[in-house]
Amino acid sequence: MNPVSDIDDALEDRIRVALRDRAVTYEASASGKAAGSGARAERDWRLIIVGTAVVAAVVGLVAVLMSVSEVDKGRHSVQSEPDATSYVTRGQVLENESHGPELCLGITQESDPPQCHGLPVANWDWNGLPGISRVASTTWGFFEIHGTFNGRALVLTETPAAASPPTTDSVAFDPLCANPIALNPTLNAADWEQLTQTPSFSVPSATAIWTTGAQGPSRNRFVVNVLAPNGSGDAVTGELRAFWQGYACVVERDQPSLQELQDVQEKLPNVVGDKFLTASVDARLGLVDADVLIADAATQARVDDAFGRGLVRLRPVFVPSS
Amino acid sequence: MQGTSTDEFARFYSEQFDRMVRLAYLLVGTSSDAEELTQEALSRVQPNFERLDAPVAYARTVLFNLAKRHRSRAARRRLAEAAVARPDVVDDTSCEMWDAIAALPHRQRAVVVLRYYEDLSEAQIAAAMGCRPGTVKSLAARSLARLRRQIGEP
Repeated sequence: MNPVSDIDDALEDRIRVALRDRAVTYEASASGKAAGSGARAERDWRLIIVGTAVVAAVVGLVAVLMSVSEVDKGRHSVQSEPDATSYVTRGQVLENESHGPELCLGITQESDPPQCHGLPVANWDWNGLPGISRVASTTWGFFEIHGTFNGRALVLTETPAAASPPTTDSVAFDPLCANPIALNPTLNAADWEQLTQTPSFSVPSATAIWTTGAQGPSRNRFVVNVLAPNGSGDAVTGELRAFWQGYACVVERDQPSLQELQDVQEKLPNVVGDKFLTASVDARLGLVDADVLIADAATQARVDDAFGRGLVRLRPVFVPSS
Repeated sequence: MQGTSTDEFARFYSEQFDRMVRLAYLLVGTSSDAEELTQEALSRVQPNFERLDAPVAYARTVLFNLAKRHRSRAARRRLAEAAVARPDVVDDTSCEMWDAIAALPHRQRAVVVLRYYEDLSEAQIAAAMGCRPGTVKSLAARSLARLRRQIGEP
């Protein structure tokens, strides 16, 4: 008999029991939810497929290292002072079994039907509105909306008009250079994805990394695009090639690093205040996009003072109607 | 062809979802985060699904890395993590051990979960974590030693 082995066996048994108990605990709490995980799984894989198709079509294979909407208020329980100003916006209004008509803010899940949360819209009536879609208990459409804030909701002042869904500029997702070079042209998006999951993978001197390949002239050619600080192109190329031999563009350009942009992104909610919705880093352009309810002069001034002019691009959902 | 691929991924998703959520839960400690990470991991599997020889192992690797990033992000933001209410159904000794596991550094915790919950071999754990089997062995030894100290076993 080996006492040390017996002790280890007992410890391992306790570990197994603790993990099993905890997993059972999770199942007990999950089973209390309405749909149950089986039904949830059935629903969510469809969401992934639809979502993936939409993402692939819209943005191509956007960089793993680009942080999109990391800072997000989530369900956007917007509350602010009542405002008599009349505003106009264009966007998606959606009503489903869990909430009334809301103007979608932040991320919309492109499932079928879509799902989103946002700002409640008072006085909304779907009857007679153009361009409406319905699936089960969900109704949605894109509209131009005029209204005022009552502090918690948008109050319509005119009948909504149909609007086109937003489109994405595909040019922005062309490769960084005209003639990407590959040491091994057979490597593709899956190889890159696998590489980026490797803990040792790192290109420490790069300012930003993103991928292109689904649209534009590079169609069917997967390209890793890398920005390097001026004078460090060779060093960055060396770091990248230690891991990746597929198509790549390495271009020198001085702009804020991904880390600097992410620091700005983290601080934005406090600087912008209650009008803040989401912020996303655009490492390609070296700036942070901030979605805000209203981009008034005071907000713009606070952002410029905090981060310097031009580093944050405010994208207001509402603009005053003339 | 697309339909067949979609059907196969749907089946894969249905078969693996619950198992992966449980694994994610043991790695990060909160059920809402576990479901989000699982959803994210499976969404990353889907574009590559057709060409993967071992989609389960690939999904596990993706999940491991997402959990690692999640934990470091959470630490940076000082969010309360692993704040799981203790249910009545779990006895005190099990709770004590779980608390000790939850306090392990991410890689040690991952080795413990993959070894004692998923029953993976050292080689499989190494593949999931993207490291050498020798590293798994030393992480396992360190985590067991730490757990032994934490719960006061000799």
